[in-house]
Amino acid sequence: MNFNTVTSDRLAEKYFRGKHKSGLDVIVIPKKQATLYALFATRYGSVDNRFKTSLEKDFHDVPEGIAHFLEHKLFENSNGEDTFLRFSKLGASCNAFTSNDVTAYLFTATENYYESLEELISFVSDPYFTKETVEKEMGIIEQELRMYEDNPHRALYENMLLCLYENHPVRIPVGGTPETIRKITPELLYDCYNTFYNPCNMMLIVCGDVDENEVARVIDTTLPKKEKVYVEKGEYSEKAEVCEKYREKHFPISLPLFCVGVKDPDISCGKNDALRRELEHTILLELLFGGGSSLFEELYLEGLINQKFDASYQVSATFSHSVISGESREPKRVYERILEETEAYRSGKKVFGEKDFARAVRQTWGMCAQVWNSTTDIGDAFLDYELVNSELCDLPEILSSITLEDIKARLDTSYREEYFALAVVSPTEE
Amino acid sequence: MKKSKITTVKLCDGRSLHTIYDDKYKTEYLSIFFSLPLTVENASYSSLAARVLQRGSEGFSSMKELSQALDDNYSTTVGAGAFKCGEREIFSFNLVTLKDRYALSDEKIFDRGVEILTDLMLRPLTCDGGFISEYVDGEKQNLIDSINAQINNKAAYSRRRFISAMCECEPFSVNGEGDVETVKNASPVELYDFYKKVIMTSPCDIYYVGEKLAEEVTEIFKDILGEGGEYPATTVEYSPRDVKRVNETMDIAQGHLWIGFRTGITYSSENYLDAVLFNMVLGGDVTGKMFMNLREKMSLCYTCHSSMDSNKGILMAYAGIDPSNAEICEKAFFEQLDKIKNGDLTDVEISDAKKSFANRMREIVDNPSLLATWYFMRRGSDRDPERDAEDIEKITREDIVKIANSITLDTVYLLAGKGENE
Repeated sequence: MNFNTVTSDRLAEKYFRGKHKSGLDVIVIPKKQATLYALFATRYGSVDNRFKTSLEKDFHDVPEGIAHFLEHKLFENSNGEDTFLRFSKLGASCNAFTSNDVTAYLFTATENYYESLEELISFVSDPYFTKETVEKEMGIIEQELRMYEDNPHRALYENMLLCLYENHPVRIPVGGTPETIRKITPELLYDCYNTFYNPCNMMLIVCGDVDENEVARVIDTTLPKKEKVYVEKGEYSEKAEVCEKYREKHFPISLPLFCVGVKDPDISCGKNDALRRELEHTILLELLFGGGSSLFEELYLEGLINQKFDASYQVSATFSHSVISGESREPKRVYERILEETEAYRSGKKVFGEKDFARAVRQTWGMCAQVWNSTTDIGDAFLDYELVNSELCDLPEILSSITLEDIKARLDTSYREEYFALAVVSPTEE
Repeated sequence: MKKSKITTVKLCDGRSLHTIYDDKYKTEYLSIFFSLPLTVENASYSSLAARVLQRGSEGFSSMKELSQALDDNYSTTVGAGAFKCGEREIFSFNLVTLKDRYALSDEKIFDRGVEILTDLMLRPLTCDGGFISEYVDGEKQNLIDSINAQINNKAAYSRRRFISAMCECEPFSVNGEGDVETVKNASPVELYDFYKKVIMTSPCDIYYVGEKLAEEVTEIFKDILGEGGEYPATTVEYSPRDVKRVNETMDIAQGHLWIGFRTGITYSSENYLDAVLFNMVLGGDVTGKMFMNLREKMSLCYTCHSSMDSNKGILMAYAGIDPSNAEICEKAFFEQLDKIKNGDLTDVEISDAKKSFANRMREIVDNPSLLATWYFMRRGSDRDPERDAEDIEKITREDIVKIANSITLDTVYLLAGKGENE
C-alpha cells in the first residue's frame, strides 16, 4: 500500500497516512520512544443501535449496550486462548474501550512490536460467540454497570446529556443497563460484528518506533479478506434547543456536583470543521470561564466554586456541546452567573481584549503541543480527529488563522440561553 | 537497551538534585519533594498550605494574575500539593513547561516557569507574621470539602477505610489530606511557621527531566533552599495477631472486598523483586490468578487486583463484587493463593508475569512525571526501571512460593449496600 507523508514544521513531526486495499484507513506516526501504541478501531459505538448494510433492505434495531458487550466478547477466541495472555506472552499489554461513536482495541508494547500488531489485528478479526460465553459475560458486565451506578460523576454527565438531547441516542448509557444487555444473543452479536467490523468501516493507528512499510506488510499478511460492506446508520431528528432545562439526582456524596451543558447547533463535519470549531470553543471557554477569567475569580472568592471548576468542548461526528462543571453549595447560583456572564459578552456589555485573546491562543497552543509527548496521547488524539474528519497536523495553521472576530461569532451563534441546561447531583438527605 | 540517565548531585545535607536527561519530550519537567513524618498535623497543614500558596505571591498577587501568567507562558503548569508516601507526608511542587524551541516567538519558557514557581514557593503573601487569613479561611473550606468528598469514589473510599482498620494505631492509617478538625483549628501564623520550617529544614529531593545538564539545574537551586535534616522512616515491623474482620455498610449498589497481608518487604529488601513477581502472578496483572479465575472463569467481578505498598510492606487484594457473593469470592481468592503456596504455578504463568512487569518498567521512561515519581518513591533503594526489568528474569518459582508462604493475613474488610450485609 502507498502512504502519503504529512508534516508539521511547527511541531517538528510527521506521519504517514494510507488506505489499504481492504478499505482500512492506516495512520503511522513514527516516534523514537520505548512505548509503541496501536489502536484498531471501528466507527461503531453506543449510539449505533439502528442500522443496515448496503446489501440489506431494512433497518434493524439492536439492544442498548450491545457495542460495549461486543467489545468484551471479542476478547474470547475460538481456540479457548485468552487474549490478555496472548499479549502478555509478547510483553505487551492490551485493552479496549467503547464510547458513543467508536469501539477501539489497543495495546502498548516495549518489544515485539510487529508480532503484537499481528495479534491485535487477528483477535479483532476473529469473532467467537456462543450461548455459554455470552451468558458468562453477563455477570462481569453487570458488575461493571453496578460500579458505574455508584459513580456520581457519571450520573451527572448522563443527566446532562438527557437534558440536552431529545432523540439523539447519545442519551443511552454506553454500556446499556442490566435489563437491556440480557436481551443480547450470539446471533445479534454476529449481526453487529459483520456490519461494523468490516475494514471499510475501520482504522488502524500506530504510534512509536516502527517502519510504515513493515506495518503495511503486517496488515497484508494478517487482515482476512472480506467483501466490502458499507453501513447506513439510522437517522433521528434533533432540535437545536435543549430538551429539558434541569435534572437532579441524589447520591451519598458530601457536596453538590453540577454540570452545565451547552448544546451546539453547529455539528458540521466537513474537512477540519470539527477541529476549527473545537479550537474556537476552547479559546472562548478559556476567555469566559478559565482560571484567568473575571468570572472564575469572582465565583472562587465568593466561595461558590473551587479548583475543580472546568470548562471544555466535546466534539463528535453527530453531536457537539460544551461542558462547564464543578462542585458548589449553590449550583443554581453558579448557573445563573454563567448565563449572565455569557449574555454580557454576547450583548457587547463586556468585551474581550486583544491581549486576553492572544494569551488564550498561546495557552491553547501549549496544551496542543504537549499532546506530542506521549505515544498514547498522540494515538488517542489521531483517533478523535479521524472520527470527525480532521487533520491533527493542520492544527498549528488553523489555530494561527483564528481571529477574535471568529470567537465573537461563535459566542453569538452557539451560546444562546435556549442551548443551556443544568444537571445537579445532590447529597442524599439523611 | 534504553536506559534513563539519572545523575544525582548532593546540594547540601538533606538536599539532592536528580537530573534525568531526555530529549524526546516537547516539555521540561521539574518536581520538588519535601519529606515529613506522616502525622495528622503534618498531613493537614501540608495539604492546607499547598492550597494557600496557590492563592498568590509577592510577584503574582492574585489567583487571576497567577493563572494568566501561566497561560501566557504556553500553558505552564505550576502546582503545589501534598500526598502520603509510606509513613511520610510529601509536600510537593511541580513545573511543566513547553520547550523554548516550540514558542510562537522568541521566548524563554522554562526560565519564566522557574521564576513563577520560585516566587510562589519562596515569596508567599503574608500579613502579621502569617499567611493572609482570608485565603487561609477560604482554603480551609475547600480542603474540608475535598476531605469530605473522598466518599464520592467508593472504591478509593473503601480502600481508605480498609487501611485505617488494618493499620489502626500506626501512622500509616493517617489520611494523606489530613483531618477536618485539625484543618479547622490551624491559624494563619501556625500555618506559615509550619511552612517555613518545611522549606528550611525538611529533607528535599528535586527531579528534573529534560535536556539541561545537572550543572545548569544546580545553578537555579543551589542558593535558595536551606539544609534538610534526617529522612523520616516508615515502620515495617508488625506483631502478628488474629485476623481482623471489619464489615461496613452504606447506600451503594456494588460491594467492595479488601484482603490485607503483611509482607514486611520494602523497595530496599533483597527479595523485593520476588515479592513483585508473587504479586504479579496473584493479582497484579491480567495474567494473574485473580483476574483469570475470579473474573474470567467465575464472573464474580469486573475489577479485581492485588497491589503492594512497598514503603509500608503490605499487600492488598481487592474485588468489586455483588455483596451476596462476598463469601464465595473470599474463598475463591484463598484457593488461588493456596495454589501459589503449593507451587501450583505453570512456567507460562511465571514467564507471562515477568514479561508483563518488564513491559511496565520500560514504559515508565516514556513519561517524565511518572519517572520522577518512580525514582522518588524508591529513594534510597538504588532501583532503576531497566535494571528491575532485567533482574525480574532471575526470579524462580521457588522464590515466589517462599514469599506466598511468608506473608501474614491481617485484615478482611467488606463495604456493602445497606440491608445486604447484616
